[in-house]
Amino acid sequence: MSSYSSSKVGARPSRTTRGTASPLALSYVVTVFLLITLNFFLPRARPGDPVTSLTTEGNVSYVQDAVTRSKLEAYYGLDRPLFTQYGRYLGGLTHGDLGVSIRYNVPVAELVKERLPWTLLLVGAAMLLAVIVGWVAGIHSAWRRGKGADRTLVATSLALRSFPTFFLGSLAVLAFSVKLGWFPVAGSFTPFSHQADPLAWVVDVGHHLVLPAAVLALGFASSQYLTMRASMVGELGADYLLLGRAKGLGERRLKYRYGARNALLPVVTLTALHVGMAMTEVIVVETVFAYQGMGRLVFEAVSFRDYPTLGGCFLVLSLVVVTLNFAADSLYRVLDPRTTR
Amino acid sequence: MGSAGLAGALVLGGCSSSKKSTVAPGTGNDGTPVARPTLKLTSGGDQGFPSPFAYMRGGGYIQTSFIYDTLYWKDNSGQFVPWLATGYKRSDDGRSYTFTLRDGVTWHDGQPLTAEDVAFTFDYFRRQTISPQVIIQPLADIAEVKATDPRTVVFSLAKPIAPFFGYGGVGSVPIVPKHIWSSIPNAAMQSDPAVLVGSGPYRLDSYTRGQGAYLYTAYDGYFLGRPFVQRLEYRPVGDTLNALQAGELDAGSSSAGASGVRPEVLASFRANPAFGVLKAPAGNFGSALYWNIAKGGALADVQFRHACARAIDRQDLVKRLFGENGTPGNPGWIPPANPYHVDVEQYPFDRNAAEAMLDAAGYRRNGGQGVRQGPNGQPLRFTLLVANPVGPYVDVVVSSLAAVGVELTPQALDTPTFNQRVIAGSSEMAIISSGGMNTDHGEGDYFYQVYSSKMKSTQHAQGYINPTVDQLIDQQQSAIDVDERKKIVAQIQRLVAADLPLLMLFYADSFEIFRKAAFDQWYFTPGGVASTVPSAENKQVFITGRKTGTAIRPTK
Amino acid sequence: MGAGLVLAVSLVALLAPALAPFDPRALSGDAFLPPSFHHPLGTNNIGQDIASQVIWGARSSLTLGLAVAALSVTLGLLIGMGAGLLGGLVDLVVMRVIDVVLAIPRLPLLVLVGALAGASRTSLVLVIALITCPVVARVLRSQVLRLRGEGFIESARGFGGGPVYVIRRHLVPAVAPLLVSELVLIAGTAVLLEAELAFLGLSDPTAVSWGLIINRALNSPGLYFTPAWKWWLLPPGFAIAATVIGFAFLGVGLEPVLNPRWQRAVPP
Repeated sequence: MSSYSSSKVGARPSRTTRGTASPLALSYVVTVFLLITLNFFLPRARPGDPVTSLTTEGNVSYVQDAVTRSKLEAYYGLDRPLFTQYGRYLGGLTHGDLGVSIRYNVPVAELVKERLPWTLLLVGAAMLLAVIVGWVAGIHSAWRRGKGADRTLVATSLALRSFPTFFLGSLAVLAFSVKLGWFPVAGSFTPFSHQADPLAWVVDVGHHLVLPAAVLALGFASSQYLTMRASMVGELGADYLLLGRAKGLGERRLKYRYGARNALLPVVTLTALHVGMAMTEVIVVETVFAYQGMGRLVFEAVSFRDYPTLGGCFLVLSLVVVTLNFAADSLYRVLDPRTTR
Repeated sequence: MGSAGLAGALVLGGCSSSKKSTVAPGTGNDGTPVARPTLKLTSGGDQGFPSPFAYMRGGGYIQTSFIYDTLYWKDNSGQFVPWLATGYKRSDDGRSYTFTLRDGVTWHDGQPLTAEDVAFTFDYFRRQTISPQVIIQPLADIAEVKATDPRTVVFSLAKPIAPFFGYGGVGSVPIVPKHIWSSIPNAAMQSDPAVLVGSGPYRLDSYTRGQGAYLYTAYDGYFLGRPFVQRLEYRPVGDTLNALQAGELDAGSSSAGASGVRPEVLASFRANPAFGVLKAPAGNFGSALYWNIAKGGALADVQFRHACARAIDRQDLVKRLFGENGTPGNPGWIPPANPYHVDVEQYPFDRNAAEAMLDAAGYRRNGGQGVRQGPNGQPLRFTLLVANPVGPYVDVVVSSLAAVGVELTPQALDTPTFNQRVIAGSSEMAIISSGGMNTDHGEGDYFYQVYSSKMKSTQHAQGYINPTVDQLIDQQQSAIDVDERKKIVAQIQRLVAADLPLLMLFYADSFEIFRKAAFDQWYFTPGGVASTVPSAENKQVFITGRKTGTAIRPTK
Repeated sequence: MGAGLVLAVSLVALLAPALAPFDPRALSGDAFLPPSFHHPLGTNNIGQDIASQVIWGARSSLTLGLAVAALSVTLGLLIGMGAGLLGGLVDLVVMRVIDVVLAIPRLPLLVLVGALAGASRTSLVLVIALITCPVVARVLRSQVLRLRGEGFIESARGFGGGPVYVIRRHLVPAVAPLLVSELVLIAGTAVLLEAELAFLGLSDPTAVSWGLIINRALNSPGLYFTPAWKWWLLPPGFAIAATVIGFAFLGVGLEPVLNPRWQRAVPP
């Protein structure tokens, strides 16, 4: 599914388990600073760099519109030395200045403000879905490990993670929207419906949310499931469960109150990491469903070669991801008694 | 009102195609009052801010036409019907027209519409710098427009103009209010919805930039009466056909982006009684291969261009792309279905002939393999600018030319950027889609946009300068006599086919697919909406609910 | 199973010229032909043979995956070993930088770089390798530290072995199994990333790759109104999945074989 979940970094918060709180925070600050710097230098790194070419007449990416062009020149400050440009860039960032969109001729920050809530909604819904499905299936699977259902589930979730998200998404549109007509084909709400009563609006937004959220959730649900299952299997042999059984406690109570509770630690931190990954996977999902969030904005900016918007989105998405990872690491430290001294 | 319309839309959206709503607006006996429908349509992407000075191309003009009226307007008869004007008088020399305006027409803000506004409009357009993507601008030969009294306006022409009612004339130029625009210095940059005060049947309720979401509500004080369709929703949809099938649209064109459609795809709509399928006049959408002559070298060599043309099998291309739903491109630009079309040199496909021509013109190929080199040692390698999504024909063109030793590297851009770059002349070669070649405009005036060295437009042949062609294009415009005009247009076709600054690759048929239950009065305006836009979305049918005239169907 | 899948895809890629019935770009038949003897997976919207495109797609995907993996592992090897062996300040700085690089989300970075640098394959390989190598470097460094801790290196040095000798004789054999499994996992990741970028339109529109076949199918108007999607959209999608899952299983399967001490959360 996602490129991240199939690689090892996503599966375990490895770097998180060592060190004390201050290097962690330091690392976070350094990362943020590097991202900001990277976002500044990347567009300027190439000879005949794209940013300069925006304002160089005769170039393929020359911006025709004089007003946008002058705003770009002002933002990038191309006539000044690189160091001064960098200083201005940093200064602008402190005011939330992310540049001006070539396409829309409005501040990038304004576009981000419009789109980010939709992405947060989509990611939130997907994560909720992934966690519920993954955990419940994981607990059940572990409880009856080795049985037919367990094997099928393990195989299915491994297979699901290997399909590209856009492929699964397109098939979902075909099956559930075009053929069955259960869900809307595209978009994040029925256009112009915001004038209707609030309840209908909520229902409408929910209706549009189901399919993209489900597709986004698939890969993460698989990872959650596999991790939960493995963690639970590890707990099953534990003494307290044997004791509980000997005491005659009900299976259900044992399963959820005792077994699952202790198996949660790895999956909780995994979830925080997953939220970060989902924030980037939305680029693909929102494109498939024409969902009007940050991801779709990135896609539109790509085809328009709207570099300022692209850079702004990169920065915002990256910062969210890095912050979530930082939160995951901190959470791990709090939850796992072994890492606190 | 808004919420009622929405509830209706939601119910319809949830229906599968087999279910029908009990009320069928827009159908039934013409005499019985029917409910006023809301129509869910799509603009097929952003068409720009719908002011007469900022919209983009044909789709954008349709948007503008809902808010602004013209003096005359076409209906299904193909004739110009008196609209803001009630009649006119033409002078004997054909160089002066006097129009009488309708009484009691007001702008959306309640101010009266007067002859002053008409005169102001034509003058204001001329003072502005407007993007070439705004397709309707007053013709240069309309020398002066003067209001002689509040209801009379006199047009003085530098010379007689054949299409005076059509493209760039009184049947297409939207009239704007003087009291709004006279204080706006730069019309093209104005994007505040508050300035969109028109006299037209609809008012813009909302517009979402980038998505092409437009919402119009009927202007109940409209001079012809309350418009029949009460609400027009232009929705952004991923794929028009999917959205039609899923009930998210009431009507849509198969040709968003001039992409064309194969017969198999339409089969399921034709087989479904809930849908109607209406074919547009043939030849109205097409894509052409452009050589930017201004870049010099081989691109400026007519032999090279001829050879390229002969290397591409246009018959086969059309058969592959569209089956029966298309026509091979004509080097004379005008499609065979257009009454002004004449036969010109066709450059029939012959790869060997193409190779021989290139050899003869000095573009040598080592051992008959690889990329050819020009006399100056320059290899025949060019970037090919194409618009996203990349049409399948790009592959065919690239491989056809590769076979004769011309290497093209496609660069895909989205449509607005693509248009910008093409207008700026920064391409080497490009594939550019056009619409409306079989409208009134396509009969002769379109040549201005494409071949005249005086014009700048998205479809303009970059670097092409042929003084004879320029002169003939001017001449045809003032040829009031149809036969004489046809003769001149024939000459232009032969010349541009010989010079070949661009080669039309194909014309794709276009279809309007609609849900009969929502509205079934669709038609394609003969000669195009405002003589220019080959769209089924003529506001006349939205206003009246009927195909002809200005009388509105009785509504509940 | 993983090995079988990877082997199958590799064979297809190797034998593409012999297996593919047509040149993948050639207009070898009419448009939208259903599967037949001549065109096992039918033809696309302009009459190119889909089976040939899928077969050649295997070659382009595998080449990309392996090129990325090789480059990434080499870089990771150098960085990880360097940091592990040199230790001290170098180690501290390198590992901090690696932490940072690991934290950057990959897809947005790839999209940004792809849009800026153009969709050339070389830049794609380079960037994916650069962002995947820190994982390798980190794993390698810890192995080096472990070996160091166990005294191998010091004792070898004591017997007069130069650094090259130490690396060749002790380090490489010790970390080789890890390298192989990392290589395999990175190759799978790269295949998936390439497909995603092609879907987003960040690749050469005339190339032949699985991602592009899907991209073109999805851009074809009315794809779902004819049966064509079944043989146009599905095969490349399943091919990507099979390759990715093959690499993943192979990687996971190799670990216990190559290194019994290795433990994983995900059951094979």
